Amino acid sequence: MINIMKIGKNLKELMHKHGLNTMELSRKTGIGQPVIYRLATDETDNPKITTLLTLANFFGLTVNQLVGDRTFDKKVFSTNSGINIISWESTENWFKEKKLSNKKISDNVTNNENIYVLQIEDCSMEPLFVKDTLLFIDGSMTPSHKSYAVIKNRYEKKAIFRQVIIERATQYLVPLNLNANNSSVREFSRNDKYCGVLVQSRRIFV
Amino acid sequence: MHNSLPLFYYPTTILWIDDDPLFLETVKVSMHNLSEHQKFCTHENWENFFTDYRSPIASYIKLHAQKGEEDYSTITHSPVDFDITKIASLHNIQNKYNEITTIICDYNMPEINGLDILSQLTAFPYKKILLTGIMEDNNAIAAFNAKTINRFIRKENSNLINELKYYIKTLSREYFCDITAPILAHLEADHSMALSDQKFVKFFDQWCYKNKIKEFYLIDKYGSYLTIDDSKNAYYFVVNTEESLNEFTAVNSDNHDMNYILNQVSQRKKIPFFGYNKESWPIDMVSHEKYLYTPNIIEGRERYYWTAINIAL
Repeated sequence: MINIMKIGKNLKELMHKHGLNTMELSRKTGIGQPVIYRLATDETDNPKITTLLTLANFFGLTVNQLVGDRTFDKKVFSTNSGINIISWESTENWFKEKKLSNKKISDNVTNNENIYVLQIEDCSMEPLFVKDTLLFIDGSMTPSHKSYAVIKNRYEKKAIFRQVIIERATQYLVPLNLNANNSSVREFSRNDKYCGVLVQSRRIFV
Repeated sequence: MHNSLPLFYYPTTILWIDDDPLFLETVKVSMHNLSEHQKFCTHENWENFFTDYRSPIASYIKLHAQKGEEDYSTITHSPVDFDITKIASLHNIQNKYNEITTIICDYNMPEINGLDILSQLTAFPYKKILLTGIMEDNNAIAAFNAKTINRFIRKENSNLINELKYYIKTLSREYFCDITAPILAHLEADHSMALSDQKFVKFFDQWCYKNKIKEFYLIDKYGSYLTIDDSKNAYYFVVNTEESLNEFTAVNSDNHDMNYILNQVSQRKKIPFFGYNKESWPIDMVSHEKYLYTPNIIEGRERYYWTAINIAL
């Protein structure tokens, strides 16, 4: 029998950990916001298994982990078999997308569960990062001055990869190749969201 | 007499049963303003009519067994569900106006009298009006007390047409109340709705009269309606309660980007309505403000916040 006594606490903790509120979690999972709210506030004492499964899958957990005591003591991602490459459209949702992606690379770099991988599609960060370079991004990190970060603007479909330059209170997003199409320096705005920081890059030649 | 609103209402069909073609022709013209939909049959063919007649909405409005719920397999619980969107979808059904709500039957006919005909229809929810002569009063009173008929009117009455119009309107409304009462009871299982609050009912009726509303369809659990006037203009009559507004603010309380909206709703300066069968969360937050409306208040069993929104169907 499943003990659901911890669902509210666990769900709140998971949402906090991933920087999600009930509305954002609803949008990402398709579960109604009132349903998530009631689960998070322990007002639902008999949730549907389909709801629990959807939430557990989204957070990369088992249902038992989601509703029980031992939610976060297991590594969410196994890196032994490699890390999945996700798309630039889904960086905000990298935690889930990483599990769903079937495009996988062998990983002997890190056992960090927060790592996800992107593959460069344009030349805006040349010459340092050429097209097809693999970027190992730590989704839990926030950028400091001169670090390379993934940024998702709420009005843009795809995330971008830029160097972050911090001058006093202003953060600038800088493409290394200003000659590339749509490449220009701009300020980090309130509609932007950091989706992680580059910890390693890798080029594939064959 | 019902003290609640039906879950939906629209103009329906009146069935006349009479052996006098001249009388039928007269009422056809006289009653045209009240109902464009009238059917006529005689004492000879009324049985065939009911053999062939099927309510055009019968399959839409019913509770559905929740067979997927585990308690369904027990012998002491019967989980059911009602999909409110089925009600609003009725406005798209073209032949719904063929729904018979009221039967008007003459008492004096050859071979079989009107009371005998209506007695054979007691199992059906149609409202029944018996047209009598002076001599049939006692039979009609007995039939009224036995609930075989809902009204009787003397055919010689000089005010016959006006009385008929009034009763037809009242009884059609009662018909819809009757057929939707079990579903209203189901919807009120966890909280009473505005639809069963006398003050709300009175206000809504006046609003419908003032705005020439001819059809209305429930669209949510709080008592909001899709309403359509006699020129086919459509409005959402949106209702919120303290409970529904508190729930809205509670559900969104962790979303700090909505602070302005939540403040407005908390102070009851605005009420949210994101559209028929829509909630806030799938809608881009940037546009949330345009879904806020300044409410009016009805003080009834509880406080109701309402607004009317003109829409294109």
